[in-house]
Amino acid sequence: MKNRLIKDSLLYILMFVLFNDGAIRAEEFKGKIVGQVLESGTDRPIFGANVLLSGTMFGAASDESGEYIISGILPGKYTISVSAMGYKKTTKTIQINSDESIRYNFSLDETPVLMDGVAITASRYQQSVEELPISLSLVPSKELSERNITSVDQALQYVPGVNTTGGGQVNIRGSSGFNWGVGSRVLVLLNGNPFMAGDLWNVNWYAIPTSNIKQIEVMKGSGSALYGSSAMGGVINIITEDPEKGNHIQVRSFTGFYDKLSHEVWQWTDEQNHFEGTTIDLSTYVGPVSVLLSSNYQNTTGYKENDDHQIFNFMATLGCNLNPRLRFDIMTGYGNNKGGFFIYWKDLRHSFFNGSDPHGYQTRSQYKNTYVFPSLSYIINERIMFLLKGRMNRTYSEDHLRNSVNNVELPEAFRSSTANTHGIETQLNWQVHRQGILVMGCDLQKDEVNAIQFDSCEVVKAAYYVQFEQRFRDRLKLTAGARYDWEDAERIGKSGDLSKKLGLNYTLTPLTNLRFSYGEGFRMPTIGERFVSTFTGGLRIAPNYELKPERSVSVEMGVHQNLSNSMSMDLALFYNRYNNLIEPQLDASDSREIVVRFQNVERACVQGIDLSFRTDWFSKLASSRIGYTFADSKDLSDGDSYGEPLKYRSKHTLYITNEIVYSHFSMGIDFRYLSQIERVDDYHKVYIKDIDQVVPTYVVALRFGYSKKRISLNIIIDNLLQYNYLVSPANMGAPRTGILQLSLNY
Amino acid sequence: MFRRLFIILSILLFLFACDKGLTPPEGASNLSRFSIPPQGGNPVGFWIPDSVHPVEVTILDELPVDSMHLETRLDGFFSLAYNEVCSVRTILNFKPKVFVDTLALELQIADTVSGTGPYDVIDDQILHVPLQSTYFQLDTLGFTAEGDRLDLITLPNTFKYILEIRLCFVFHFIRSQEAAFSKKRLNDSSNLL
Repeated sequence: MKNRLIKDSLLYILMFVLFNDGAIRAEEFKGKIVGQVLESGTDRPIFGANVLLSGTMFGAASDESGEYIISGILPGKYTISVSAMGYKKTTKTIQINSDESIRYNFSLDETPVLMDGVAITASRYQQSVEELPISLSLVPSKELSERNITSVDQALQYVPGVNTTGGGQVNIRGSSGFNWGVGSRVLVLLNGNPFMAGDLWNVNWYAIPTSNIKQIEVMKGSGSALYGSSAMGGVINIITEDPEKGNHIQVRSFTGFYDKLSHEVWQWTDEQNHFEGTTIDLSTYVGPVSVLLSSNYQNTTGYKENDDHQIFNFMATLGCNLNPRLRFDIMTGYGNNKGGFFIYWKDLRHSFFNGSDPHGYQTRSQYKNTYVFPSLSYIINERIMFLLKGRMNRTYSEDHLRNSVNNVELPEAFRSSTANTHGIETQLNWQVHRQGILVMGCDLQKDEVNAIQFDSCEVVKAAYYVQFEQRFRDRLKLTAGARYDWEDAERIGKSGDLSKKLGLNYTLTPLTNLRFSYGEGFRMPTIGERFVSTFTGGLRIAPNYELKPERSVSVEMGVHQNLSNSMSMDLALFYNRYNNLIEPQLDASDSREIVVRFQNVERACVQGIDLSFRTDWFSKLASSRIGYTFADSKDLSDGDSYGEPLKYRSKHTLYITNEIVYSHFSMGIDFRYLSQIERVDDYHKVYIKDIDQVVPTYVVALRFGYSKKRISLNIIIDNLLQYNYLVSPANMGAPRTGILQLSLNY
Repeated sequence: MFRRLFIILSILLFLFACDKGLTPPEGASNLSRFSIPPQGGNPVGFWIPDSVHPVEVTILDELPVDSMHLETRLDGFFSLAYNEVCSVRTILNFKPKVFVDTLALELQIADTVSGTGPYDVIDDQILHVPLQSTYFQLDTLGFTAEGDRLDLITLPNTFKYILEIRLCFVFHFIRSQEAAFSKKRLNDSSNLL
């Protein structure tokens, strides 16, 4: 049955491609627009500006010299819009005649306020962020280098409404508590491809180099109607750089150290803890093929016992325009993370000592991730674009015990898991008319897992989605869509889920945008949650084949307001309701033995506000951003905990970033506040000592930078005031950390 | 107005971050915290668990269960040298079984308590004992040393297993006559772990 489904889908895709290939050949070659995007006043070229023909599938991004080319355009009248981050969007109406090549140059005025830019995640095609019906934040590449971000999850810790915890778990607006990254309720995409491990459905951040990231798009609220399972809390899409013309190489090296711990009793080593790393990026063209290679190596002793890591990752992106309408891209990468395994402390008195290891031993782990994402895009005509994408993602993890006295590692792994994910996806974007666009597609995926702790398992998933967006008088945009997900899991059976969405964006005035969105979400239980069979803290974790999917409904109303030329504000009110949330529970029902089992236990709601301001000071010399989120969570499950806050959630988060730029020099100071979590899991109290010892988080980071054409130098001091905080329950954050980073570009 | 808000919030966060955050609990304990008063003496020597009655457990609270049964066992050694170096390698088997009606809830813990490092003796307490234990706080011990017998008394420990169980241990040791031989044998066996 499964094989037949795969065969039928492949046949359908093949037929579609062949059929449309004929259509393209039959079609006449049309007009072309070329030009340059420059900064108004200085005439400096703007790199990465988005040049789009409104109401069509055509568009391009400007290269390093500001040049762009859009070809294959049918004769007619078009509106061309040009936007870039930090510049005012501009539009122009143009006339294209047959076989004509027209040149249009654009001059963009700088805006004192950082513009929201363009994102692809919300609707699977590029749109200005202020036109979206749902909240979406962007993290530009500049922030990653200035803060020496070496893992994408670190980059998200200043995004309003987002909270990152130890274990690489990312929570959006209180969607998750804390589960060491297992069963993520936020879907992570790499250039639009799902990047989740097939067994635990967590994210292997270590496998993604951060030096070649163009921007990170963070969509808040349910995205299941377009992306399916796991997107119930939101979607994070990591967009990599487009290769520039010519040959470029960038080498970035950093080194840093952790300060001495605040209390003598916490010292677990007499050595100075440190970290260092190097990234190399190369971009070039080999004939018509663009090549972008990125590699990264980092080593850290860690600041906690048995938390050292050696990480290596590599990514290659190749792209080629086979003809003006047909493009082939392939992205492939590999990541390796080897080191210790710190989950929680021994107790508060020994809070930097590893408490999760059996005494006398240390758990040593190795993780590997290999991925290949090929894609083929056709512009069938100026109104229809077809996208065919494949994906292969293989993750491997193993845990060994090492005798802490004689450092001899036991040869046999006590936990290991191999997860293979293969998938294929088609997408059709159809500009039905000037004001309406239809996006539809199907997705087929197979997950195979072989693990000591889960046994072997196979899951086949298929999905179909459709979304229509209609504009009315260039002021109102209405979005409606739905996605049906079907799953056939070994030993579980078949199940299906329908998720719907509705969105609205209204431009009240040129300075004010109102938005509303309703979205349904769901998350299939992971293979790990269903089939796990292991021991922890003396308790047996037992499988649960009866687990049902989690479901959610999220509603949001928001306003984006430019308050002046130098100040903007965004306010969102949100309400999310969750059913069947999966949590580990003590279970004494089945036998005379007490075990831990993942169960559908919780009904809950999270409501609150997201507020952000941006402003500049002293004629753009300084800029500030503030993001505040109030997320009031309530447990609505029957029982004693009814009405209580959900576990491991902070009610208030406040992020402030301030930056001063003068000539080649810059200085920034960042503040991060998370209120104290209000509820701790009783199950965790059984085996983690002092897990209920919690404090609010107050972290101050200071950074200095110097940047000239080919060289940049950054000095960063994180946790400047040596505040002792928690990154996750029973897991301390880093002490004061000093970092020196040097980048060279050729 | 909004710019003032930025400044005020930044200053407030800076001031709050000047706080220390989490701090460890007080290190040294006082006599009144021991449920069984230690008597002191000279604890220096190489000690092995009493083969007849190595562990005594005192439950400090009345538990809301029908009954509770504890099985304990202690293997290994405890060595306090004159040069103020303490060496410990023991395995504590701890098996609480709680009965509620006919339901027996059982948990088995084998805790390897080990460590080597300096220690301090003040009156009848051994401080900064370099013990690594998953479940119990053992870095401060009261002691009673008389002749060839040593009793080590722990501070009250809270063990959370469905219920919060407050208990303290008394470990009974006898002086080893074959210290060197025993130590070598244990080192050999630890290499096999």
